[in-house]
Amino acid sequence: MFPGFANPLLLAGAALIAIPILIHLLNKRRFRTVEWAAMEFLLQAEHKNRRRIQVENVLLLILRCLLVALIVAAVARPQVRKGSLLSIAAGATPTDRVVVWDDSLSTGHVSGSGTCLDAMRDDLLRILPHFETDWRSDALTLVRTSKPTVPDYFRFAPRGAHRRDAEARIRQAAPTARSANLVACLESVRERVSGGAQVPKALYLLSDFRATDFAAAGAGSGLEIVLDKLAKEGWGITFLDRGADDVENTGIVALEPEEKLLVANAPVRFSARVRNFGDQPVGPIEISFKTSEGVVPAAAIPSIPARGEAFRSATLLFSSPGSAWVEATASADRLAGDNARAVAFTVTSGLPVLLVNGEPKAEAFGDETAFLAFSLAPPGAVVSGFKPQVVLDRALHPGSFEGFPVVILANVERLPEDVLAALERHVSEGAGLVVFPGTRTDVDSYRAEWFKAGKGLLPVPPIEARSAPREAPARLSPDGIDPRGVLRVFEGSDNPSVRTLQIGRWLALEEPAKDAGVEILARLQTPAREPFLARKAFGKGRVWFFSISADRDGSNWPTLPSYLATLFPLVEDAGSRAEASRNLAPGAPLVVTYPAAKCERRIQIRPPGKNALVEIDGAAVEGTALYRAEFADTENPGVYTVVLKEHERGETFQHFTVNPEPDEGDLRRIPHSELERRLPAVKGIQWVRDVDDLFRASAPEASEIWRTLMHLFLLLLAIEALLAWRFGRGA
Amino acid sequence: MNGSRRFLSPKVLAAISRLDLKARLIVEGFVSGLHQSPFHGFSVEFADHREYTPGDDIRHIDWKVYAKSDRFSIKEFEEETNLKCTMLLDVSESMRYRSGETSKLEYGSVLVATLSHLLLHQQDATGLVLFDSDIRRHVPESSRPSHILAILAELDRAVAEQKTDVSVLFHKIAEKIKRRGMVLLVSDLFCPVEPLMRGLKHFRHKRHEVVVFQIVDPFERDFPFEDNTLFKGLEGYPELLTEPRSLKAAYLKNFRDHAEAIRKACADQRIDFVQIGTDQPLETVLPRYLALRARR
Repeated sequence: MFPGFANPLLLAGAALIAIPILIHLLNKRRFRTVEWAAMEFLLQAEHKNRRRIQVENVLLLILRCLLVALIVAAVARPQVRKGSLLSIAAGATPTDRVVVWDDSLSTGHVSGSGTCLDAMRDDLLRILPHFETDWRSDALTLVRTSKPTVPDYFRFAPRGAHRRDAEARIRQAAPTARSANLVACLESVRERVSGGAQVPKALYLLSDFRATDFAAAGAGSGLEIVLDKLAKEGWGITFLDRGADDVENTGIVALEPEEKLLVANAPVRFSARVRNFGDQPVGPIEISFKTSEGVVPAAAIPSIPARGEAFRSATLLFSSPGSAWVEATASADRLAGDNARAVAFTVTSGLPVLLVNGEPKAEAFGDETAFLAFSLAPPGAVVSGFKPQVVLDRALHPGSFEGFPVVILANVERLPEDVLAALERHVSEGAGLVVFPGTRTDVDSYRAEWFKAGKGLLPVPPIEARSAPREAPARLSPDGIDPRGVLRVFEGSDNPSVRTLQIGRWLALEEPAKDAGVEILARLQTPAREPFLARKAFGKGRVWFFSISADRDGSNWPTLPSYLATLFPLVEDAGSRAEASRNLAPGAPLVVTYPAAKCERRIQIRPPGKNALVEIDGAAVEGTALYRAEFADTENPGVYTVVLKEHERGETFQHFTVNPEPDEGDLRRIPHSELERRLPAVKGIQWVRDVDDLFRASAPEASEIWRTLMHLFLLLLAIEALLAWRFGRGA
Repeated sequence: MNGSRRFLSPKVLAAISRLDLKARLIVEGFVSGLHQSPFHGFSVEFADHREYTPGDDIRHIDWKVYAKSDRFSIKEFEEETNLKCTMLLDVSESMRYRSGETSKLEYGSVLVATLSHLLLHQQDATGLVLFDSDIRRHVPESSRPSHILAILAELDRAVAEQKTDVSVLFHKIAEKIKRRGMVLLVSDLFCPVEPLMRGLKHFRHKRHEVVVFQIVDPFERDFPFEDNTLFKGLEGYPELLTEPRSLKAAYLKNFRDHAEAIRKACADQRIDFVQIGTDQPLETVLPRYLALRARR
């Protein structure tokens, strides 16, 4: 924005001043002609009033030119230096001052006598008094990065009682577990404040300016775009850097079980990954584990190199199936918020797997699901961790899928519309679906209803059934198989698992569209290299689609070891997604679904660190027999316990965890020059390190006087109209 | 166009049919018809002789004839009213102006024709003088009913072309009118007041009763012009391009002051002054005036 005029190009409109002059001259050429008898009287009148008329004409012309000049000046938005005589004459132009302050987790870092947030709090408390002195006519909008769309204060005047209220609220603020979403915050500010009147605007960003907060910053990034828009809209932008130079910090960045399936009474190892974000080695770091069933004594990590990581594991045992959690805590350091991490999961007596049999047969191992059921839960003492349950396809109803994190369809011809809709809902909420075709597969139904032009469950549409002669069966191609994926048993050249697998009949699958989000995990060794196994995400769940059947009809796979070796990791993987929704980011809603027939509608939630329970009534989910309850206050990290009241079993528990982003502990700051280099389109950002510099550096120097000009215009317009009437001339 | 149709409106005539134009001031002559004479004798125009019959007024015996013929003869006179009315109609160029359907000249002509008809109907004599800077036409006074045709014919032929100059003219006309009577002036009076009043005073000095009808056009009276206008002056006046609204007030003041000056001066001379706009129906204006005269 240029000092002088906000829209200097519009000054070209000054040429319009010629319009009244042209009209005046043109009027002289346009007249009617009249023969007149009483000429003597007219001539006398003209002679007597000639001078007066000339003066009146000139006066009106000047007024009209002045009116045009005023309008042109007003739209060009002239600015005068604040404090100058003209600005005093023009009156004070209120400025919108927006303070965005970073209350992300990293601002809890203790440096010196307080945290980064304490320093920003002091800054704010020193800013407020200015609204009673040199910023007296200005308005304050106060926004925290943890609540970008809900300002603490919006365009208010912090004076008197309002100021005391604002100070009290600022004093109560504490670091949150959230990361600073600066783009969302600045966009929200721009939309809210820009929509108002055309007044000068100033944006102050108080932050610790960690490099990870600006990791995505770059040319064309969301941050650059929003800052550029703000700058072009006339915002004065000031960054107040409150980050500390001390960046030493360690934090637990991950906590995971080493098994995907957690079975009761089966030991499982949990590993906590600890990262040293600082530039110096640290150690020893004490790590302790706490579970829903007890506490594990702490053990120390002796040392972690600078910028390095280390693991500390614990083998844990959960005695009964149900919801459980594990929390790892590291010894205290200067940033407490990242020293603990928790994970919630379900301990099963076996992962329930629903096997849908599309072609039951009487003969042993004859029907579609026989090998599946046997493989997943072989008889004997060893607990597989899976609890398969077989149901005929014609017995399915919309509630059939409830309680099964994994569903396997084997040679199902088609599904009724309501059952298919229920299955889609189930998968989208986190369940896994595995589809094996067969001889009964209705290709048209699969294409139309299950694939639905890419919007349905299937990753790819089927084409047709194909076969290979017995003497030359089709084989699986080992190329491109992920050695850590579900088909890892087939990985590697000259793999006997590949050699032994013989495929006589398969359902040819189409190649997926580009950007469809579909992965082909393996292909057949056919001339067309057709997909063998395709996978895609569907909502929060995933779907696997094989090209061969699960029984012996199409291949010899069920009789091979690789069948079991594939099914286990596949079903584990498919069932693991259901847990993702129980481990949340700060602020993400906690959603609980529970069977309406079994449970009371009202549930209770105990947030971390609190004994008091919050009660919520669930809402019925249309088309299902479930209640759904949502709890939004998940700002605090830790374990949230949901208490369900089942009619038969009494209280049962589900656990959820909220953890901060792992890199919130990385306190390295982004250099100012680096940030400016990465935001080339953004010009004119002021950087200050002290709040007093804020008033000097960022206060808009100019105030606009267009309002005064418009008032003057209206006044002169009234005068012109009055004079024109008085002189007997129209406008 | 036939003058009678053009200038004698049945509506107007019907409106004044029950009214008359009486001389307000005493005129010479004996009473004949409607008017009274202060004198016992009369001044009439000699028409013929007839033989004396017993009972005739011996004052009417023509002794010169007796002296010559030794016979008694009685002078017969044209029966003449005492009222001789001379209509002065302004036919200068300014009378040509019209803003609507009727020019001032046409309106004045109708007024003259109507009054002439009235006077002749009441057996008074009427004559007509058309003037601008000089006398253009003169129809001598007569009381014969058919005299109206002569008047109408002149009105029909009248053309407004020349400038007005009454400074000498009215004196000339005043000298021409021998007998006392009425002088009705029909004009827009767009001339200087002084010479006009001097002329009218001359008529009054000659003991004529004078009535002045000022005919004005409504545009001249109201000056309703708004947009830029080029006024082209009649009677040789220069043209003027102006914004009429800026001069309206001053113009109207000049116009009204002029009329007021004439009215005042007329009042001082016991001259009736009637201002009539061409937008005013004569059948309303004239009866009103005649009735007013009759009440005085």
